[in-house]
Amino acid sequence: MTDELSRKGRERRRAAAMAAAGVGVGALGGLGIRPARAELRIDITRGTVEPMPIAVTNFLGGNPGESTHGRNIAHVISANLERCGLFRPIDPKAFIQSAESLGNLPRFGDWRVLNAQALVQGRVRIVPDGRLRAEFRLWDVFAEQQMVGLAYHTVPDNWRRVAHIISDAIYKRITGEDGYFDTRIVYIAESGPQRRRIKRLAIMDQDGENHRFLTDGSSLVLTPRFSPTLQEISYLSYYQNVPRVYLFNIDTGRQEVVGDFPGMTFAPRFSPDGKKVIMSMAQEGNSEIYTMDLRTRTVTQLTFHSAIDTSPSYSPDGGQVTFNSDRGGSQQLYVMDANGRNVRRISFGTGKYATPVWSPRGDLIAFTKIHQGKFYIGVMRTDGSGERLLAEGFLVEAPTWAPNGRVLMYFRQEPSDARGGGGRTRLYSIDLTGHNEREIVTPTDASDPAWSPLIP
Amino acid sequence: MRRNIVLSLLFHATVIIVAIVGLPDISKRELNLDRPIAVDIVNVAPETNAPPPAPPRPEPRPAPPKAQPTPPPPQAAPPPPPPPKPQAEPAPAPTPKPAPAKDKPKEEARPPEPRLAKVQPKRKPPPPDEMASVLKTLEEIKQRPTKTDETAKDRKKPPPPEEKFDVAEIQKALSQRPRPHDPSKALSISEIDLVRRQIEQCWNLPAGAKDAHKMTVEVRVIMNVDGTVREANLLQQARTLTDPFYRAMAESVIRAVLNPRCQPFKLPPDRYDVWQTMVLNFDPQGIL
Repeated sequence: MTDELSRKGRERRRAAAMAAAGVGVGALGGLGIRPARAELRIDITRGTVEPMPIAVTNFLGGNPGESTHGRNIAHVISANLERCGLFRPIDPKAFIQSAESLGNLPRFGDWRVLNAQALVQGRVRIVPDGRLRAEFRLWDVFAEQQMVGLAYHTVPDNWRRVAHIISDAIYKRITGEDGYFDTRIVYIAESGPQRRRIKRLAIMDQDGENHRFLTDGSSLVLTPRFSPTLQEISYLSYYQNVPRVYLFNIDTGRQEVVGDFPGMTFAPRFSPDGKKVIMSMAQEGNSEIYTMDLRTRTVTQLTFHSAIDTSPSYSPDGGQVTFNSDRGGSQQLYVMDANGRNVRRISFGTGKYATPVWSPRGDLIAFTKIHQGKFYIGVMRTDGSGERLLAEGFLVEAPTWAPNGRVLMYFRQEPSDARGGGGRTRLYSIDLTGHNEREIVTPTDASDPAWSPLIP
Repeated sequence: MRRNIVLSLLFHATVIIVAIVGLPDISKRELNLDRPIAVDIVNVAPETNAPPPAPPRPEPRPAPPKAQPTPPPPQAAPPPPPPPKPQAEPAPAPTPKPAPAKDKPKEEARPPEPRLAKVQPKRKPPPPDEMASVLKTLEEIKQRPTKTDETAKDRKKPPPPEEKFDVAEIQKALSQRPRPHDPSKALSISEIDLVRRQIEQCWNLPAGAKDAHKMTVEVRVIMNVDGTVREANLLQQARTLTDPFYRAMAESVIRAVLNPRCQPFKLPPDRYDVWQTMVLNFDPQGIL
């Protein structure tokens, strides 16, 4: 009895399944789906790498004062986008539709004619409480859609920073990466004859504006490093010929001594959480890598090797450290866990490798390479593969990453002649692709740049 | 008398020589008969530039034209007799018989060209004039009935078949049409390369983006007949919401596809049904 019931049940289920299948097939037929037909498929495996044409219109203002701010903001945005190398702002003289007539919806056809792929429009108002309100929209011209639209309030004098923030928003929306326009750069400003060089700590916006000196040049300063979390700099200063590490807070101007570190040649770098620093120190003629907790000032030694281990840099997750060492016979790059274990060599090319710096994005390590009398700035993946040399010169050194891990800055020194002339030293930035090398204009010679994180 | 014998011998000799010389002509004629097939191939070419699909099509077509040559013999048959007839029928009779089948074509051979040309225009004019591909299939259908009715009388029948294909045959023809198109291999590599190059020129990669080399973007494109893009949809739309790098890559792809500078795509308009929708797979692996 139960067998028969179960058999009937099975049959019923089977019938139901068949019916369902029939309905499914019928539905497919009804929808006109032709399963047999293979769709034409084309693989596109090549492309171009060209700056994207973008139109930045003047931000509209209700009165001459607002309009001036609007023009200035548009100008700074345009310059930022152009400088990064990924965009090609279109000359405003070519615009067919005026900024005034943009209204709520641009005439996309007019912008397509110019081959503008993106369009920026904006508006500036001084609101009743005296603050400046800047709003902008970014349009995708081909898709005829708004990509992003935001508004910011600030004091009118701060218009330049608003322009940087808007540039970052545009950059992020189009590239998918955080921008780096609202950042600053600290560097060593050099002046005077080669033998009695005056070196001062200086800071400026990433576009060279708002330049100022932080130290007076009475003592030698070297290798400033930015904290990844605070607007704080560590640097090395020779006070009475003893290298000392200082911490300098940009916002407050407060300066403190971390300690005396005899035998130190590079300032410490911060850990990603900003709580520790990592450094190399020479003790008894042997350079090893140490960390120091900034709060407790406790020092921990990470490497124990007779070879010279120096210039350490944390990975952005804080789990690993890259450094250079001559333990393999020549100066090469190594990676180890943050506790000093599991040391492995990653560079195997010819020449010497130095000053590795882990990208804030985590995917690459930048380095200086010396080969056959020439210097190079290069990048490689964290396992050592995919080495690419981006810049070369008589002396190119000290790479530092933009906070988005997309652009590198370094300094380049030209050879000096027999009379002590020449030797011009300047800062340069270059895109990760190896394109778009740009000089950062500084009032004096400049070296040892350090790129800040995005200003909070 | 002697003179007559000599003349007779000379005549026979010429007949034999003609027969011998005619033999190679036969084979030539056959080749010539095949040549019209080449004309068909020319018709095929504009349709499928693709080398692979082309060969299978011309082969089936040769068949129909071969069928046609058979009918001409009857027509041709009457003309050849006249020359011998005026002359003595005696010996020639046997010689033509062994090779009658061959002879007929042989002798037709020379005239056939004009005749075929004359005959064909009568039948064929309709096909080439109207819509190419449909008419070709219709032509084949025409030939089928003629095969069944095949006789010398068929000549006169051309008009009736035209009336026949009106309903059922057109349906057949339409149903058979897609068969010769091989949808999967419909576009030749060179044709695809052409489009590929067009799109590549407009694909501005977000070079230097993190892991850009690991991001392949697939877009289904719906095309207009004129080769412009009507609509482009990402196949992995959801990923653009979670991964800003992927979104940047995907948007660069959409911009490439929609960029009017690179349109219309150079695709053969007669095979619109093949490329009406396409999947474009953008793979930056080799570039970044």
